[in-house]
Amino acid sequence: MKVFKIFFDLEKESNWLEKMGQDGYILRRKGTSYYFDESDEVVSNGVDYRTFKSRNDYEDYLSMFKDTGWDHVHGSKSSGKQYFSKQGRDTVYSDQDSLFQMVKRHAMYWMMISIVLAIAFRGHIATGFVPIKSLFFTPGLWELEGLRFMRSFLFELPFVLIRILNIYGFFIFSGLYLLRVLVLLSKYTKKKKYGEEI
Amino acid sequence: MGKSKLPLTETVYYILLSLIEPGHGYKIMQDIERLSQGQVRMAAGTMYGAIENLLKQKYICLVTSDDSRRKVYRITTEGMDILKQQMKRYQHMVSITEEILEG
Repeated sequence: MKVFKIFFDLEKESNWLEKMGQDGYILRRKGTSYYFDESDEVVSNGVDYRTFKSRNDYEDYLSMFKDTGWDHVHGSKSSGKQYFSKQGRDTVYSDQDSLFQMVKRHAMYWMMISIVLAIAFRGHIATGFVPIKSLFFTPGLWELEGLRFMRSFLFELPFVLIRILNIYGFFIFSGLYLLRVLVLLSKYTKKKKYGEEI
Repeated sequence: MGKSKLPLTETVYYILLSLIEPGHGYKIMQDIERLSQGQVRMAAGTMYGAIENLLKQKYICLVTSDDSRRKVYRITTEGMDILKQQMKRYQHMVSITEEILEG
């Protein structure tokens, strides 16, 4: 069974894979889509986010999963995301704390890229980004009036939105992701303060 | 672990206990299952992270292993220290509890 799904949120992806496992679908391959086999038995899927400095570290990591029965479905030493599946019920993380550490690692990676891009785009940012008006390429658009203006404006609007997404999409996305991690962080530290078993 | 190194979490305690005898990741997981009588369970991802932390804190260290794929660890003297400190704390807690309950 092939499922095409895009996840920006690692926690949501992890939960979805887990649910698929509970429903009897075992992950066999991951490309742009997820490929599952159906099973009558109980199966588990999981995703981890981790990068490694040396091949040695990576082999050690993989062997820990292999020894506990996991199949390494997709991932490499520096790909970050590591996908696993196995027969029986199991999870990649057994407590909230280490799961959260993983989400944090993932967020840090996106934040680093955002910073690099921000530095690369610092000219844009300094001039207050590209003025939205200039993203409309229709000649003479802003000289039009009334209904004619509205028609031309609305016609080009979707294209302008795509252009905005292309240029600033990464910032928007990373910003949203970081926001979510901060929300998780505050939820998590609140739990810790009130002594909830983590 | 912050300013105060104690208390150790149960999982850390069991990892240190397990590594009094050198071993690799899977061996630690099996030991934890056995020693805690199934009370404490560590998943592979959590295990790897915990080992990394303990290496950083120098409570465990690497030993040379024959297995090129699997790293072998053992407890350090600092690790032994903190383990014994935690044990004393548990012993104290148990004895005062018994006192109060029987008093």
